[in-house]
Order: sequence, then structure tokens, then C-alpha cells
Amino acid sequence: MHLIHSSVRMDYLGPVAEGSIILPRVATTICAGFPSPADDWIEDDIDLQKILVTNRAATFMWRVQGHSMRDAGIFDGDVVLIDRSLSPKDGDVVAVSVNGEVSLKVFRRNGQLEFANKDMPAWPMHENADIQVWGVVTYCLHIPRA
Amino acid sequence: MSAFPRSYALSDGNSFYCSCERVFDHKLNHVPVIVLSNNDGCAIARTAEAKALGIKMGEPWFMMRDLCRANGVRVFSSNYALYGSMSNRVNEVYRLFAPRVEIYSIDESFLDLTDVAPKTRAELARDMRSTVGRWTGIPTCVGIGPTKTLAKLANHIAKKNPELGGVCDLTDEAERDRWMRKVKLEEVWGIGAL
Ligand SMILES: [Mg+2]
Repeated sequence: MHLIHSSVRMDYLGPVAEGSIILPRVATTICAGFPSPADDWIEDDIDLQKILVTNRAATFMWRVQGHSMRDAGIFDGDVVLIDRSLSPKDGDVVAVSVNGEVSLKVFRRNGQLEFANKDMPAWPMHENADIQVWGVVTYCLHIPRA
Repeated sequence: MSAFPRSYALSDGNSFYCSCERVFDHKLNHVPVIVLSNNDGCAIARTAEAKALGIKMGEPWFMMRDLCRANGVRVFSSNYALYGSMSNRVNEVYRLFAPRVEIYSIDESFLDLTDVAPKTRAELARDMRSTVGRWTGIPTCVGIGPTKTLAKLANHIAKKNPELGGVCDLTDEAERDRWMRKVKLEEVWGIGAL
């Protein structure tokens, strides 16, 4: 499969609409292991929109295609929220425009960019490439259903 | 009541529809880009590179097709859902900088800067411009003046004189007179008509 050695491809989906997605808050954490009874209480309803989007003017939704961000928990077909107002920190997943092509990479303090897939060779960062950080990935929406 | 005399800013997206397309595809950044009206009738937005080729606003597509092909002009059908959404974002940023924002068109808004100290207006406009650029990717020009008409004139001056860094403040009377002597007023929409 040729995609396995290349950067993810990105398709812009759109803005996050105004409004709210209200869910009743049942527990602050859902344990994947032994449940903690202390977490199990009902509080105020929560607005999913408020959790997912802190800066609506700067937040863009893109769909990811490809496998190069697998180890960062971002899979083929996932939807990511990207906030352009944030400055990337070491280890952040960023959308970058490389010679005009938008993809995702792990951002390193020294300005290096990396794939997140240990089965892939290192991403070849060409010296003369036009590279611009487009935004910082704040959330990844993954559908776990079979 | 404000301690300062009235002041408005007109902020305007540069080649707005084309700039919206460029946000998502940086390959468009240094090439001529135009956007066509509904049904691809005529040019309704042009980047500086397209203007330099002699493509005119409202020029019918069939008349410029050959020129566009020969010069690698990237041509887009209009995508008003995208332009409207980018316009909303830009105005959301404006509202962080000014309490009253009047949307004048999809890419132009008047901001009331009366409460901002005259000396800091240009600085605020530069800050706003760079925030809009970072957050939305849209390049803007800002004109400041004591009336909306003078803000429009200042915006025109900011657009035509890149050395101003996208901001022109005509609050100061001497500065205003200096520019008024230089500008062909009929070029500025809304003034030429008077
Ligand atoms: Mg404009």
C-alpha cells in the first residue's frame, strides 16, 4: 500500500457550527480499568462544544487520510480539530503546509517535524521545502465502532 | 460619552474570495488566482498577481480564458459557504478589538474606535490585523479616520501603499492633508461618486 510511507492527506471539512452539544455529565472520568466509585456522580450538564472548541474563530475541522500519525492516536478517516491561534509546543501534533500540501506531523522544539509511526522511515525534511505550521491539533474525533 | 472625538476603522479583506481559497492551499500563494461569479460568468475577485496580468473586475470569463491558460491563472468557482464562514471568523476577531462592529459587506466592516486613545489606534489596528492573519489566514488592510468616509479613504491608502504595513491612520489632520493631496479621490469607491 503506497500510503503507508507518505504523510497523511488532509481534506478541509468546515468550521464548527455555532450552538451547543449538551450532554448530561455522569462521571468526570470513564475508567478503562478498575472503576473508581468516587468519580461516579451527576453534576451539571456539559456542553461538548465548549470542551472541544475554545477558539471558534480559529478552529477548523479536517479529515485525515493515511497512517503516518498512528502512534499519536490519529488514524485514517479521523476528524481533527485544528486551532490556528495556538503556538506549537514540543510534542504537539501540528498541521503543516509543506510546499503547499497540508499534512500532520509531530512538532519538535528544534523545529524538526516527525511522523508518528514507528514502522515508517523518518520523515525526510527537505532543506529547501517551504514549510509553514498551519495550526495545532487540539482534538481528534475517532469512531471506534467496527 | 467618550473623552475622544469619534473615530472609525474600516477593515477589509484583501482579494477576499481569493484569500479564502489560499488559506487551505498554500500552493496558490504566489500565483495569480481569480474567483468567478455564479455560473462562472465573470471575475469577481482577483489577487495582485491576477490584476498585474490585466484581468479586470467583472471581466467575462470567455474573454480572459486564453490569457488565464497562458499564464497559469488558478480559476475558482465561487464558494459562498466558505467565504461566509471565513467572514464570520474575521468579524469574530474584530469584536475582540472593538465594542461595535458594523458589517458593511462580506469582506468589509466598520469598527468604532472612539474609545481607543488616538495615539494607540494604529497599534491596535496592527495587532488586530496580525491576529486576524494568524487565526484565520486572511490578510486585511485597516483604515482609520474621524468619519466612515475618511476611514474608507484611509483603507484605500493602506491597500495601495504596501510600505504602510496594511494600516493607515488619518486621525491626524496634517497627515490627512498630506495624503489627500496625493490620492486620486475618484479611485475611492463612494467618494468618486460624490
Ligand atoms: Mg476586499
